[in-house]
Amino acid sequence: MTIPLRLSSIDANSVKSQLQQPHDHANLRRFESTVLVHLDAAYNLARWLLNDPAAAEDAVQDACIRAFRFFDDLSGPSPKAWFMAVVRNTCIDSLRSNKHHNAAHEYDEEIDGIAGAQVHDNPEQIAVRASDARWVRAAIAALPVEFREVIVLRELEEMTYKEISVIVKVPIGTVMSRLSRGRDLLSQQLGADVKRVSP
Amino acid sequence: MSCIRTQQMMDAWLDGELDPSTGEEISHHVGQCADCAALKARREQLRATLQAAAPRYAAPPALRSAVLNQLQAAQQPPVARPLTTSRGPSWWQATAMAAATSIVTALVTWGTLGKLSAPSGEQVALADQDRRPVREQLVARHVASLSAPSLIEVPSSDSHVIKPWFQGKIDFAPVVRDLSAQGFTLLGARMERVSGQRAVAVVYKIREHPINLFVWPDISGRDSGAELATVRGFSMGSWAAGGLNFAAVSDVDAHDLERFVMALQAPR
Ligand SMILES: [Zn+2]
Repeated sequence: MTIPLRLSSIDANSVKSQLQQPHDHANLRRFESTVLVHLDAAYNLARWLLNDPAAAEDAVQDACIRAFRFFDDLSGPSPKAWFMAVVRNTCIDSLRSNKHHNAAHEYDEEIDGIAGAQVHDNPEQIAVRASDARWVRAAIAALPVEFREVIVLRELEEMTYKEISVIVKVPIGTVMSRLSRGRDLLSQQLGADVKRVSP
Repeated sequence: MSCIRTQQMMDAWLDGELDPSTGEEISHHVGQCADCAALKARREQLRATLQAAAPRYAAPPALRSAVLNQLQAAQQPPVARPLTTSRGPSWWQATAMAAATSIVTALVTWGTLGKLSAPSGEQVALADQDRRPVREQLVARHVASLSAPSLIEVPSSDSHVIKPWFQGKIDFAPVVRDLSAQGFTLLGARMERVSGQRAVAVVYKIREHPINLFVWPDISGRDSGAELATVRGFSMGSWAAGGLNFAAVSDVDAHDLERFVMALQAPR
């Protein structure tokens, strides 16, 4: 099946020539104005991926150091996407090296998709809970990381599929299917009745 | 427009990622189909719930100042000082020290490229070249290459297309092998630089993970066996043969990278 996605074309060369200059005194200023302006976005992603404020701060700090050292190599259409890719890599490394195995485990349809989505509450309880921020946060946190990251990047950071595909390093079609699946899982978690036509 | 296709593209449509004419078709279908309209309503309700209840966390002010302080400490004056003095840390040493205290990923001592990583007099005399250790340069080049459109300059799965493309660009002949039987798809190649020398990157992929195979002339001329390492979380395999350095870099796990290196080195 082919998906007629609209690919936004951005002038990569202008960003690249603007950023690919040798180290000089203005380097840190330039890094601040092109990369560090996205510090909130970086922290938000790390916070949601790691589910831990302190770990998120550590990861963002490490990511900034990495990004600064690779700053000369910054290329591509979006400095924000480039920086977010570094942040995301740092978080994934952290998930792998620490004991966050629950969050980092590969997605398993049987275990996570069906068993994880069972909702036993009655409709009134669901309605109350759905308006409760803690319940929503817990539902997002319970998503497997590959769905959580695309949901956060799309819903909270409002990034395009193209940018998300660069950050997560998967094709755009995969971004789309992960978003669909992630939203289905979230809707199920939040008590909505998801009926999809089976192919 | 069928229900299946409508529902497959529902998210891309609501996210504004579809071309207008396909969007029209979906909109038309949703207007006439209760099932698809219900999915659209659920998606809109989910979005409203997320916007109302899922916070976008802002970076704590202390984090911002900590990052700036750390970067200022890492920022060293440029190459104005004499490069041969041994007093005080050089730029690359200072950067390495700053990194050692701040980067959690352990850097692995790496024999094959380690011999190139210490800046000899000849290397530092060149003004504009990247003076970071080679393995760091390779990771940086790998990371940079993943941002389209820099990954591939000559897209082809045919080594007989890629090899002629190098002619006139470099004064060595890189190995370009078809490894599709081993599961590694040849994607293409591009020009690169490693420590100021002309290099090439031949790009393969396995299960959507790109692998950059960097190839550049070896100064020492000594062959060395493959060594595997993990640098900043990336898998690397490096060796030298026939007057060329080879280094494969990827985010695949070490086992897959080892298979890749073995496949490249296997006798034809
Ligand atoms: Zn329908």
